Amino acid sequence: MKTELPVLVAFIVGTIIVVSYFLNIPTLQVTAEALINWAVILSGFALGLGVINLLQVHSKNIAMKSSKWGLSVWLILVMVVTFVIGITQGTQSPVYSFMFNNVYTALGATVFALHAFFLPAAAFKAFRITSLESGIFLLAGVLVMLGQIGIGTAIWDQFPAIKSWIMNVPNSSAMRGITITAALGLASTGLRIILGLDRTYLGSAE
Amino acid sequence: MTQFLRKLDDIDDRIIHVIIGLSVLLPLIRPIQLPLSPSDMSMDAFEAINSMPPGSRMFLITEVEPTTAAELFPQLVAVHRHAMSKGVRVIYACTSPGSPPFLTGVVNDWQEKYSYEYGKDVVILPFRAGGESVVVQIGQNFGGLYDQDYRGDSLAGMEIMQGISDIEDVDLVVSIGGAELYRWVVRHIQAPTGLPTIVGCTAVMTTFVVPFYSSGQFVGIISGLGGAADYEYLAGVPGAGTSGMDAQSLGHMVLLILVALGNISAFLLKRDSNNKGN
Repeated sequence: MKTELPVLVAFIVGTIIVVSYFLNIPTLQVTAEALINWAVILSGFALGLGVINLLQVHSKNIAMKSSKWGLSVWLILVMVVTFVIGITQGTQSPVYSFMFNNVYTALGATVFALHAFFLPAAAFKAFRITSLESGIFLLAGVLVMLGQIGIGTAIWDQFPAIKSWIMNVPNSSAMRGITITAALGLASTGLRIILGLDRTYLGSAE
Repeated sequence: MTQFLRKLDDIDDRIIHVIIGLSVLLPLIRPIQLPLSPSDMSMDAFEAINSMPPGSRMFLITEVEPTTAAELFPQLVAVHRHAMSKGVRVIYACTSPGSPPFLTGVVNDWQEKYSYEYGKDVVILPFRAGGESVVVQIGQNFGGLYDQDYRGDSLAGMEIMQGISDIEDVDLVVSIGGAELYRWVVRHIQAPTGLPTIVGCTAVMTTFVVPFYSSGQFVGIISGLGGAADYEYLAGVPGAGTSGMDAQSLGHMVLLILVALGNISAFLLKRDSNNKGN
């Protein structure tokens, strides 16, 4: 029953959603809309579940004094402070805005900006022409980059046109192939889930 | 010579970090104003909004987050300023919890300059959890998903929402996001409704988005910080995009030089070892 019930629910829900997309039957449309509504509501609960899960994992870390348990204390402290300020003073309050703009945004941007340092160091060592394919790959990358930046245009004003051609013709063709293949894969996975052939979402490897 | 090449080949990563840091920092301190050449996709995005008559309504959905804000926020600001200067009304929505402060920031920061009214010219819808499910709902049951704005005020009394019960009641859709948002928008809004749609994305996502532009499903693309700079240039209002482009240009140029140097040293070292082998 533990396995059969979720599979049955997946079958019923999946079938309703798929059929409602192709057939304009009012009852089916209303049911499908309600089910999608449920998905949105459940996602809200999932956020709450995430918070509980975080608290459980990090409380355990602290209780067992695992390695770097101090970071767990910090995480819980920041989470509770942010939550309390958000609830009591509102997410538009000056304190909450200050924390968002000067802590969360600044840290997020900093982590993202690290790419600017690690990427060139990796590119210097990894972007080597070792075959015809890697040569073509590198040439395309260089041309697109030169077409994207002001210095490229200053060197030769045709770089943007070359970049546009690379993006619109070879890139679009390849990406369409990848997108269509991925969509077919997605459709077949969806079908397998609806038919109960793929039960990995239940945590089993069947 | 061989020794120098070997040293170059084994260069300490920290030296590269310093070179890159300086190449990004110096143009920010002292801009060099490199030329801008707006791409076709940026021009098409600009033109799509520029041709909207005053009073028409745009639905802008975003997932701008601190991690992507460096590229996406200038796009958001450029589009907002352009829309407000043209009298185009904007309905904002978001699919990530980090986005609302960016939306309230952009709406509040430019209100005085463009004298628009919240509720009449612009509105911010609340964050809804669910990712793709939310976009499905926007496409199928817009009115059922949103009945209040982000402050909890009823949408029914707001002038901007009059006559909007369905996503098809808006004139243009704009999606500004880092990863999956464009995919959700094309699947659940653009394809079923055929609404003209513009996508703003991080530069790294452009290769994924371009096929939908080539097929005509997206009428324009604003790609990364460069796209924001293009947009600002076309609108004649320099902003964060334009000021960041010098740094990005120089950073990219240094990257190209590093890649070229790496290849030259590898090639010469290989030739050297082949000669010694013979």
